[in-house]
Order: sequence, then C-alpha cells, then structure tokens
Amino acid sequence: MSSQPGAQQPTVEESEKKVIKTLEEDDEFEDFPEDTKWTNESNPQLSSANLWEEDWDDDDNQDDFSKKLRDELKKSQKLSN
Amino acid sequence: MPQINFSQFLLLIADALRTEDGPKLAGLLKPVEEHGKMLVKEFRNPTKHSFSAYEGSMESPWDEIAIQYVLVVNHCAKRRASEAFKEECQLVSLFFRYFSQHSGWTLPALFSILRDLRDLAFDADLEARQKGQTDTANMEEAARLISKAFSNCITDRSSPYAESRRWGVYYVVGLILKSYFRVKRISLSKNILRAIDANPDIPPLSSYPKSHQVTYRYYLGMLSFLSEDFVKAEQEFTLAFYGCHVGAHRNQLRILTYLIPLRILRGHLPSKDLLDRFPVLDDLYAPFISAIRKGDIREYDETLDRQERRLVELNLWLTLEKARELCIRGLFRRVWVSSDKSTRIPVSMFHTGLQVAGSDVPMEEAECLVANMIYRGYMRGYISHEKQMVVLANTNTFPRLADRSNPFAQL
Repeated sequence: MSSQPGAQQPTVEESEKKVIKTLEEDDEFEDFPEDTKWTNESNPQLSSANLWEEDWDDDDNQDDFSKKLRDELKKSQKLSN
Repeated sequence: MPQINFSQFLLLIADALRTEDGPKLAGLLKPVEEHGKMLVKEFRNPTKHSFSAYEGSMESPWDEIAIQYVLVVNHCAKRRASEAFKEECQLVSLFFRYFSQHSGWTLPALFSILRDLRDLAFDADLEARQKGQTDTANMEEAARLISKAFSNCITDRSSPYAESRRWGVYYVVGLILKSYFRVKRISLSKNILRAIDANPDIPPLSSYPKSHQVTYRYYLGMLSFLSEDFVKAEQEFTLAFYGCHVGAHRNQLRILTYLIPLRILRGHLPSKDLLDRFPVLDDLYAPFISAIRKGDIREYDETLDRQERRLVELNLWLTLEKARELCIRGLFRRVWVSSDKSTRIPVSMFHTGLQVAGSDVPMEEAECLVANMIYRGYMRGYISHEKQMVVLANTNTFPRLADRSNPFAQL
C-alpha cells in the first residue's frame, strides 16, 4: 500500500466523480434481454427484506452533531434562566 | 448455421412465414447474425439494381425485404452507419406492409427490427456528430417510424384476441418513449399517452409481459415526475421497481434513483439493506438521509451543493431542495427532545438550534421558521409571540412523516 497520505482514503472529489460516472453510464433504461425468465411471484429479494423505514425518529442520538446541539441548548437554557 | 447463399436465405424466410415462426423470422432479419456476413461475401457491391432478378421471386413484400436486408448488412460491414440506417428504414417500412395485414405472430420480428432500427439510428447520429452535423435527425426519424408501428398495432380489429397485434402496443410505446428521451423531445410523448387513453379496447397493462409493463411504467413514472405529478410518479416507479427482474440491476438502479427521493419526501427512508445493494445510490443519498435524521442543516446544504451538478442533470435538484424541510423538522424535533419534550419551549431555543446547525438567522426568522413548520403540519402547537414562547401539543407533537395524508400536495 502506498504511504502517501491521500492514497488511503479517496478524497471527496474522487468519490464524487465515481458517482457521476456510474450514473451517467446508466443513462438509459435498458432493454430486458429476451431470454430473461420472469415469474409471477414478486421479487423474493425485495419482499423478504425491509427496504423502507417509516419509524426512524429516535430520541437518543450519540453523533457529534447531536451532542454539540445538546450542549449548546443547555448553555442557552442556563443563560435564559 | 451452415453456409448459405441468398436463394437459401429466401427459402428460410419462406419457411418462417409458412410456419408462422416469429422468433425465427426475427433472427433472420438481425444484421449481426452469421448468415448476414455470408451474404455480404456473396455480393461484392450490392445495389437494389443488382438484385432486380430476385424481385417477384417470393411473396411481396418479402422479396424486397430480403434485398433490403443484404443492403443493410453490407453497409454495416463497411461501417457506413448512416446508409445502413436509411436501408433499415426501408426494410421496416416494407415490413409494415406485411405486418398490418396479418395477425400478431410477427410481433417478435417487429420488436427485433425496431430495436435494430433504433440502434442503427444511434450509430448514424454518432457518425453525424463526428462530422459536425446535426446529431439527432436519425433518431427522430426512427421515432417517427416506430410510431407507425404503434398505429399498426393499435388498429388491429380483425385478429383473434390472443393473436392480436395489440399485444405489441406497450413494447412499441416503450421504444418510442426511449427514443424521445434520447433526443430530448420528451413533450412528444404526450401524443402517444393520449392515443393509449383514447383506445379503451387495448387489453389491460397487467396482462402484458412483465418486461413490457416495467419499461412502460418506468417511462410513465419519469413523465409524471417531470410534469411534477409526484403522486403518480411514485406509484409508477413503485410498480416498476417491485415488478423489475432481480437480475436487471441497472434498471433497478435507474428506477430507485427517482423512487428514493420521492419516498424520502413521504418520510419513507431507504434502509441500509437497500442502499447497500446500490453503492452508487448510497453515495448519492446517504448524506442527505443522515442529515435529515440528525437535523443537521449544514450537512444537508453542503451535500446539496456538492451534488448540485449531478442532481441538476437528473432533474432531481429541486426535489432534494424540497426535502430540506424534513431536515429542519428533524432539527426542531431534536430541540424538543433536548428540552425533555417540554410543551413550552422558548423561541430562543430553536434559534440556538439553528445556529448550531449552521443556519445563522436572526431571532425573528427563527420564529418564522417555527411558525412555518407548525403551519405545514410538521409540528403541532402555536407560538405566543409576546412571550416568545412555542407552546406544543403534548401528544403527537411531531407527527410521523409517513403518516401525513398528502405529503406531495404542498410541494
């Protein structure tokens, strides 16, 4: 592995380019191959897994932003009391 | 296929016609097949004239179609895209003469030659572009011809139901819409959709092959999305996604590119499981989703900026800009949670929250944002302006986003 600092982690810009390229290559809806076998059952991969979340509000977040928010709100509460 | 010459090629066509073998006929008319190369070798510089002896050698218009086929493959072999396309147009027009007088057994051949027509138009446009000429004329011509196939399908009133040419309607429409999207003449699509609506005796979409349904629904979803009918767009993309073949990963990706932001607006966030299967979409959408969950407006705006070019190209920038409201709601909910879910929270607390989230607005604007969130149904309560106090309902204070009855109405 290269020891250059930039080499280990792709920069934001690089990963950005990757996204752009891949989506552009897929620019169109493709013809389905004629020999594709279609079944009448719904896609097992899609029905078995939970693909969407409707209950995602949570009250206990430990990320940096949430911590900072809590701290600042406490400070401002003290000031106003 | 063993070595064949033109006379044998005619016999093979005659055989496919006699046995009404659509797939076989389709194969015989494909320019890329092995027998095409053999026919190229048989005739050095074929022209219509050099084939005049063969005219009338079989049932019209198949003598001419066979001749056209040789002209097409010859141009393809010499890499003359524009000429190949022109000859293929002739072939397709001749084919229509037969197609419109017979039942739908020829549909596999119709689909096949229309795909070839479209692909050759693409190559011809590419060639024109390299020469510095207008670059969509061929595809537009192809779309016009494919529209004629649509009319030939939809007007079948004599074939038995099971063999009706109408079974070709949705596949052909898919091809037309794809061509319109490619040449950016999307407004022309409306005529086709209107023609479908005007023909109630077309069998229901659900009785067509799944590949026809999914492609049609994808384009219907796109058209609804572009005309800002988000309710319909979400319905069509949903049906397209769940109907799509598991193996067609890139098509699933294409559908989800639009379905995910529409679902986000409804408060249905894509799960990690879903995004893990589509790393490209994970890269694109995960930062937005993370920002919405946390209420981190700064992170949201930075992502919006960073992805601007891509989102604009996909026509998705405005949609994600609308979803920023969800992020503000997330922030205000965090403020509420941090205030121990009190029913009385000073406006100044929301103001502080906005500051932390990178939104450096004056107090009055913070109050205004709270008022707007209440008005839009994101939080329940009212503001006491004199006391600078937000009084919140003690039940269902921040209704679940997924429970809103008409989430697209106010966009």
